[in-house]
Amino acid sequence: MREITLGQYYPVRSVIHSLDPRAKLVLMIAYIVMIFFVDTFVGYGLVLLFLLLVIFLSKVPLGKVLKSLKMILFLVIFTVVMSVLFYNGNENDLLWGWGIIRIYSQGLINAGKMALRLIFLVLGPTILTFTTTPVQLTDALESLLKPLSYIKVPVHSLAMVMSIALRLIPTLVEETDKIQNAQKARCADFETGNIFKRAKAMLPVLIPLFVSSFRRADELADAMDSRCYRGAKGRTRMKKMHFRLRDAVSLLIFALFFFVILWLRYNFFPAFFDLSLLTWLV
Amino acid sequence: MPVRIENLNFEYNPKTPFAKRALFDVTLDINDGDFFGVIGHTGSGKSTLISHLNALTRVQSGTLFVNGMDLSPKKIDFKKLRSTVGMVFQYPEYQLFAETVEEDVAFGPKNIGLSADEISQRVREAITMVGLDYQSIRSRSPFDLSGGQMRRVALAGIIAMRPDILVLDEPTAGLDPRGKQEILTLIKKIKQTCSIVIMISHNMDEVSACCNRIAVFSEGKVHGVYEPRELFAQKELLEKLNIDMPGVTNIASMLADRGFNVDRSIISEDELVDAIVGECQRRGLCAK
Ligand SMILES: Nc1ncnc2c1ncn2[C@@H]1O[C@H](COP(=O)(O)OP(=O)(O)O)[C@@H](O)[C@H]1O
Ligand SMILES: [Mg+2]
Repeated sequence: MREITLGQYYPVRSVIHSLDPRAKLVLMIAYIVMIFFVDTFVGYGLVLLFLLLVIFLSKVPLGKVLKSLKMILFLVIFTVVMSVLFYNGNENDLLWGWGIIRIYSQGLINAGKMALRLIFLVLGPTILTFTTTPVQLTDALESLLKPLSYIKVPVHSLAMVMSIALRLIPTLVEETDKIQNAQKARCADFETGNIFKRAKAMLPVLIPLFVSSFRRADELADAMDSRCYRGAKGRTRMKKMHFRLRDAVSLLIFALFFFVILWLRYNFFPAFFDLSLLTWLV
Repeated sequence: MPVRIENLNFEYNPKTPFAKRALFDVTLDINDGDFFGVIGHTGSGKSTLISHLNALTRVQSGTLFVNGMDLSPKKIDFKKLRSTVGMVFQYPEYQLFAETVEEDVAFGPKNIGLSADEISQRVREAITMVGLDYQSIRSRSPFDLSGGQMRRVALAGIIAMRPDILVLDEPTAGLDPRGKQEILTLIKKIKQTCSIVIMISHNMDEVSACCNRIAVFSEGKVHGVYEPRELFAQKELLEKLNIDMPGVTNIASMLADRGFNVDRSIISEDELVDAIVGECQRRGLCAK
């Protein structure tokens, strides 16, 4: 269980891993915004190609990425079924009807697009967490939110709280594991019985866990104090984030891609090349 | 009843980038009556091995028999196994949870499903056995006790299950010298009620004083199983494996290096004193 940290960082060296986490965070947010501008299958095809390229560059096995979609499988199926069932189209579009159930071809197309949108929305953050450690992400967030500290938002403290929490999650998981094993060795049974019985069975694990968490928090506070931690003022970083050429290039490439997507959607410069023609083909 | 381990292999997180092989073809026989020591560096797989013994870690490949019970099948009688193999983890005081000492010690026996009478009798017996005063401590909160007392209570929680095989993972870690000595004495006393005690330790004084056989682990493999004298007399082997000598053996060995006629395989203080006195008498340095 030791490897279950928050998220799912996949430790390999790749271009994507080595990008500035701030750039990646911005790119991820821009990507999510972009997904809402895609409304044709051609558009989704392009996004898919783009994602495949990024996944290939990140050296994360495709299977791993797809596996993380399992979590939202139910949500996708639910959305598709609902939107197919409740679509109100006009009658000459009707594919199949039985009682009050009426399925329209336009309904199917809509549902398909909605499913794709959901899947692509999830894939963005997924790739980000595969290639960026939680600590890098908090650092990036702190750096990006820095302007807020001028209006007295305690950005540094919040980020510190977050990174300590993130840092302690694996420790906590490990500790839970240990205590659970110790109680199992005393014949504790966590697997059988109804939900109340199981919740009650967790008490012998949760109580020692709380006790040691408080002890650990105390010790950590002392350790930080004794190393003169005073918050953000005058604090420098050990791992400085660097915005390098590769980050600029990735932002540029993404901007271009975003432009293409917008072009597909709004078809500006129609005289130049009517891309929307393509969408008719599908 | 004995423990038979044959070609046991184990890998953490198999088939992921975090895969980590912890045991390589471990073969060990532990017999009735053994006080079995397990030594080796941190990360050499000692804890992984012993957590197999009560099926907290399941057999991936190889065979493992405990008291004639095969631990390879997926479904085994966990209750029976875990009340036979008492496992005291590192820092067992971190497992205490109940409001009173009595309740905490009763946790194991209750889980086995014993009768109330039986439970209270065992709890009283276990608490007394670990050297605490039952009447004065039974209704205190385990969190108010001193570190050494907490550890005793945790030990009592295991003893109350009356295990036939007792497994201890560094039972004296983090205690002061006196606390160490007390726990060790206690373990030797418990040994008389169990057929096998298995103890992981980094302290060679403890190992040489308690164990009759010692398995040396190194990087997930069993380097060998030795009797204490046999192991600690081999200076080169110990140096190669980076294992300390027990204090007395070290002194004996230094004396021998300086031409004093003492045996290098001495492992107890009495023996060392006898050897020194004997040699002095031989040299006419003191009266017979
Ligand atoms: N839960 C775990 N997940 C992954 N690796 C582990 C886990 N527990 C131990 N290991 C690894 O297995 C190896 C053996 O560990 P362990 O059995 O705890 O050694 P020892 O008890 O001899 O110090 C070590 O390299 C350790 O890092
Ligand atoms: Mg260990």
